[in-house]
Amino acid sequence: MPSNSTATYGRFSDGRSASARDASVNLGLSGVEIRLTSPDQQMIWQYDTLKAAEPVRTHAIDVLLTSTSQPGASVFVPSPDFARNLRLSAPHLTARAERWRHARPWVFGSLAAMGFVALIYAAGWSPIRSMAGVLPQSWRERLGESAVASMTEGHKLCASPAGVAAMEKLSLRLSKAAGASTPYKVAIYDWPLLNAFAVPGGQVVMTKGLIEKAGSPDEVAGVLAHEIGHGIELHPETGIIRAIGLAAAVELMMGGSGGALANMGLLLAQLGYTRTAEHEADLQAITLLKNAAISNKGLGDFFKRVETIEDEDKVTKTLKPFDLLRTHPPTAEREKLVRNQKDYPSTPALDEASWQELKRVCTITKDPAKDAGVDGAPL
Amino acid sequence: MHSILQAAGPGTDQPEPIDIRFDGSSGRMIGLGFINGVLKILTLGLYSFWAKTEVRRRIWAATRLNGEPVAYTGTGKELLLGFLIVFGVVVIPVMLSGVAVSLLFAGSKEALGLYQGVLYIAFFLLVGNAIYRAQRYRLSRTEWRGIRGGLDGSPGRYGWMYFWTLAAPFTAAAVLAGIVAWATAPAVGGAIMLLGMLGMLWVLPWRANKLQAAITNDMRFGDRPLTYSGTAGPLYKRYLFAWGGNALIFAAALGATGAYLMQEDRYINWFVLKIPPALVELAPLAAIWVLTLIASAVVTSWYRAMQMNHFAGHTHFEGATFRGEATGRSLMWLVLSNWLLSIGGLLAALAIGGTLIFAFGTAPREVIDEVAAPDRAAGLLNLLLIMPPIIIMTTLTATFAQFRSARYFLSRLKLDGPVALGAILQGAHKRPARGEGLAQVFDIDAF
Repeated sequence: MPSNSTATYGRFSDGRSASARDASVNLGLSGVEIRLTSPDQQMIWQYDTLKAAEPVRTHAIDVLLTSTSQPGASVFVPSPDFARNLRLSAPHLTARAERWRHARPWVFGSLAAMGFVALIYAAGWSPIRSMAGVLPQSWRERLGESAVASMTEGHKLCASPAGVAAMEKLSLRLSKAAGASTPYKVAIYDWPLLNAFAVPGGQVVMTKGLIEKAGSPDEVAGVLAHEIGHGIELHPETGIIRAIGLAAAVELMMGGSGGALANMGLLLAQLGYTRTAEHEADLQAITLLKNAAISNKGLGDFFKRVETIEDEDKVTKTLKPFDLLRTHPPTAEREKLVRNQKDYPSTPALDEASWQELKRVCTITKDPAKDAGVDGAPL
Repeated sequence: MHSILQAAGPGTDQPEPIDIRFDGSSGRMIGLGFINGVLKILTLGLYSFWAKTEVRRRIWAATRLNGEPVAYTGTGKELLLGFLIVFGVVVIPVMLSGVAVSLLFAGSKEALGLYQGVLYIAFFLLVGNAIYRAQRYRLSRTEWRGIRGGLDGSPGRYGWMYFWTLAAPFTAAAVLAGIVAWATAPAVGGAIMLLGMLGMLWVLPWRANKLQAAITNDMRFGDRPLTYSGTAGPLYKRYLFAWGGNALIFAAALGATGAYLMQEDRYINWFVLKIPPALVELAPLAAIWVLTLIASAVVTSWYRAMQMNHFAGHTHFEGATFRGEATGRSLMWLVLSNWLLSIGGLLAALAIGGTLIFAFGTAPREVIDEVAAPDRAAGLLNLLLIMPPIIIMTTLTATFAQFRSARYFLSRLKLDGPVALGAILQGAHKRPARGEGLAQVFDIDAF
């Protein structure tokens, strides 16, 4: 322990009033020695009881000390030499020591948490999915209705009775093959975008763009089977629970000031399913189509169509926001998966008359709000 | 060093002048900001409470009264606990109630709108409360010569004042517009509403003065109170300039936004056909509004400088009176340079992150629909590459800017008149055990 034998000038406050007294301060063997005059008084603050108003840096020009042994009292020493020597006697006052002391538990905690999460996923258990599995059906349906309402906002529901009946027929055929107790509800929206998505509670949304661009009823059946596949695997439910959990976690991590980031986190979670999830839905689709005796060539054709549009799009369009975080969809691989399946006896997904009606489903549209809560007939 | 200190003898009760100074180098804050950013990443953000505490300790210690530093005695643990409690009591219930409302009233826009309206009002009611509590915590952790500051009043009372001084004129304008719309035509009512909103801004100086009086009169140093004697009248001449300038700036920004939306059918595409806009198409809009905010802050600087001097000049302590020496021009430079620093830091972070993604990440590709799957794992890799530079840079620039602002205000604050320091005793007011949870959730803790 280095000892500074020459006394240094300081100012001592007892913490009872805002006045201060001159003091002579010395770095002793076991602590800081403080001597006051008139009246004479001497005290020693042990090094391990010391606290500094700010971390003592190498180039500190002064230091303000308190001690847990004498609460309220403080001594201010305006001397760079004193500060430098104090760093050697009481190393716990340096910035590095303080920061590491505070950060260490959280660094190890974070590592442990990340390791735990990695372990859970490596073991193949998805806690979020288990939670999704225990959600009551009525909650799922309501979540689904909310999701549909927000995702299709501003678009009308396609409602030509014959077209809707055709879609119901197709959904019934695939739902039976899936062994579902109630048929999947399929809503078609008057929306030029080529899109289809599954929402919680056994509901599927398709766009006019998809129906129009599809070359055959088998293609529509392929897409519907894929979306029902998502439904069977509870992907939409899992996605929503993950989004809520992620928002809470981000809020917690950002110390509460992560409002904007929390929204970004939600966006990221809603970007879509993982490659694994898509693969699972594809496998379900292949099984469903086979059970329903519908050819899986339609699904393959549809993938081919998406690929072509992607290639055209790549040339003409600029990047959309968040595309940076998306990646190359392995559409070609997925097409190959379907093409490699063995042939089996099949019939067209819909008869020609129903197919023509389905294509005209958007000739009559209505406001979706008026249709809320309509249930499918039990099988 | 020795000469800066007042050569006072042992505990004299004689009144002495108080010299306020700010002695600190902002350069050192860059290093601190960098280290704090790195530690935040390593601890998944949890270190931010300790980071904030160390920045405050540095700023407080750089503030010198008669050569002796002011000490900040708060801890990161107190901030963490305060945050966790508010997280449990406010954030989690709000999130759960949001989920519950979506479940119970599936897809009903009216129910969701009502819920959000109630939530906004409740939040607004809590904001003033949060400001007061944060201020109380910080003052209770501020010591000079071992004597603590304090705020001896009711957060609820301040929170309510914060609410009604804005809510009452707003309601009055809305009711007036409603009556006019009912009596004449909706368009006339709309015009009255717009004028009412613009006119309502004239309550702001009165409101600021009222709130300042309320909080200053609750402040204590030791057992002695601070008092405030200001009235809003003198603030209005400068306010006319700020109000007019801002009206022009926002009118110009709205005009530019409208003109941009009308070009190339953007309005139709985005809002009617709901085709999501491309990033490059949004960039001009972002630029317009960032410039607008900067211009607004610049124009408001003269008023803010005057308001600061007005507040200081009417704040009294033990017979002495504070004096503010802010000027519009210097404050404008502070605001402008802090903005440029933040934007520059963010752009630099994006450039670094972009380079990292280009080097190690996954290249972007067009995706048409959900049927074509994005790969979350690769997206996560890109996110991991771009987030660290952003976190480090924003922490760094925010720390630097915060220090510069503190230096600006504290080095322009004087206290005129002697104070009998020996007569100021430690106060008996109770110290809040935890800090600032609410203010952190609302992100309104400036220091």
